[in-house]
Amino acid sequence: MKHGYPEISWSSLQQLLFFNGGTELERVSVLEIRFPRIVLGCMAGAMLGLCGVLLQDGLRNSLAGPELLGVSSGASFMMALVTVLHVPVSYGMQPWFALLGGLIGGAVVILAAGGRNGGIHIILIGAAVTAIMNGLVVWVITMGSSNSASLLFTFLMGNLANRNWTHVGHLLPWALVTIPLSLSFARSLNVLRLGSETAEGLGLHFMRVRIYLLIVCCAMTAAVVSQCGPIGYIALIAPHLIRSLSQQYDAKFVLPFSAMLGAVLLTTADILARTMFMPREVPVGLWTTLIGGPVIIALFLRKLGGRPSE
Amino acid sequence: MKEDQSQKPLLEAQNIELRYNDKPILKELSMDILSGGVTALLGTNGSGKSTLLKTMARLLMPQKGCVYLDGHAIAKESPRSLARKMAILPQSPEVPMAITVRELVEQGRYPHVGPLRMLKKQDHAAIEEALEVTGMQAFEQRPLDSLSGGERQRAWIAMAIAQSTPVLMLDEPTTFLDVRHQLEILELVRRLNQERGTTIIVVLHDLNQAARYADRMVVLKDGRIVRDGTPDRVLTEAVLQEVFGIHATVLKDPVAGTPIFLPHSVVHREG
Ligand SMILES: Nc1ncnc2c1ncn2[C@@H]1O[C@H](COP(=O)(O)OP(=O)(O)OP(=O)(O)O)[C@@H](O)[C@H]1O
Ligand SMILES: [Mg+2]
Repeated sequence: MKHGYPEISWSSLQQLLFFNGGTELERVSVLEIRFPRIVLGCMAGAMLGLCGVLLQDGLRNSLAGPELLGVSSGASFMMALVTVLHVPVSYGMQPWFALLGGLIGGAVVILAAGGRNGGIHIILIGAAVTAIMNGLVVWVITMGSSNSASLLFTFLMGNLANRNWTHVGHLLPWALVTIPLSLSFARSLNVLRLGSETAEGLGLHFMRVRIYLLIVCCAMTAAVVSQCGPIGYIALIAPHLIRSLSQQYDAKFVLPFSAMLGAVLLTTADILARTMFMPREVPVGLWTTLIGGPVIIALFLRKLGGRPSE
Repeated sequence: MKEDQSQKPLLEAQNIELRYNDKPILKELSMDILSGGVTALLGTNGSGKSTLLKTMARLLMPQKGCVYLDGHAIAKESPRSLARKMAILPQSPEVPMAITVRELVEQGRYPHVGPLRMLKKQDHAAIEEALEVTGMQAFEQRPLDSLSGGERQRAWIAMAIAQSTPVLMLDEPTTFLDVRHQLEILELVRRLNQERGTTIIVVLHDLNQAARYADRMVVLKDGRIVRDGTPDRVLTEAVLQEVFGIHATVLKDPVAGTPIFLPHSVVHREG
């Protein structure tokens, strides 16, 4: 909170937070700009981290992530339509459209994959839906003016800039519902790790649990995307880092710690985004992707080297 | 442990027909399991033993026919209540990453505690007991993938035992084990049956061991039951020749008194 322009010292930060001190500029930039941004980053990061664990364990695929649920691309597509076609919606309404688009994208994938047995089907269908929607986004952009295209671009990048308490307020109810729900999947995820057959034998309703899980993930991703835009890799990296650092695969452990790490990663990335090339900002979504990609490659290389096979 | 014939079956498969992509695997198959016995399922590779076991545990849904447990159709029962009544150990379960023996055995309590509640006293007691009867206490903190084949198999069995069900189904629990560990598992099976009255259905390949440890032998061939009865009636030279395709001599085990066979040669079909 202290970094960035204006640079604020620890003591005046303290003054400001607890005693209403500081100059007007400092007060506004901390309380109205930086603080909500950190809170938003924590919530969004935690939700993305949880989403990663749910999808990876639930679909039994270590590469599963919310990018492949059709949610981000659904939201992007909806935003593209709204922006380029100049649908008369107020700025405040836009996140709701993104949410709607995200939920529709996710629903398409879940319905198309429903009834299939392997997690691989869902991932293939998700990838296909994502590719189609992204294609549509590009198509819509080419139809629009360059002005609306660049407007859209800022959304497609995933960003925590210019977010205030209203955004926090929008995300909060989703976080309050979906975070405890995600944690409640822990024991079922542990049973699922034994394979779908053994899990069924232990009384887990495999298809049903998987649908619940996908719905919770869709809701989480759609809510995050609608407020912050698509932010890549947090969901993929947080669980993998937790697992490889702790050598623990127990979902009761991995779920909460991935949520924490997701929050830390996203806020850290955002601070970097804010301060690294001051006064310009690099969208945090770009950061997570640029750093996330290589980290994931490193993690998998290490795993391949360390273990003969999974 | 022969029960009287008037007793109603505990588990009953009626006219089961199961196909994989239109290829019939189980054909109009019916089987009754009485409470309290050890039934061995036998047959050549691909004869449908695993398929039958999974169908009876509702891991597979038959296209025709129905399985009843205690007179109720298992297809209508919730997975959790079914898992409190029967446990199944599949033929080659996947080994999850970095799971300890104790964690594995703990999963056996899932049908009792459900997804949300904490493990209670009786759950911990069941886990301890399962570890004890399988002799896995010393291994409880070891990761599953660091164990030998036999130890791993016993860990899986411990999980099924922790499920504390009246019916236990095991698919080839002795495969990949050395002779001593095979006998250990079979003796464990018999103990569970005798001391707890668990009804056991077990797929085995060793006919002599089946004759020794089971009350009843059911032989499958091409998805049909071709022999069903006590070891004396089933383990005969005729069955060995017709079903398993070998010439053999059947003797009486001097110690156990059960039939035992010595293989001689493969039956070569004419033409
Ligand atoms: N998922 C599947 N899809 C298609 N065919 C299958 C499938 N599972 C089993 N089968 C076929 O069903 C038949 C019976 O298989 P099953 O596993 O029941 O045999 P089994 O008696 O248990 O054999 P084994 O002694 O080798 O374990 C085999 O011909 C097998 O190829
Ligand atoms: Mg088999």
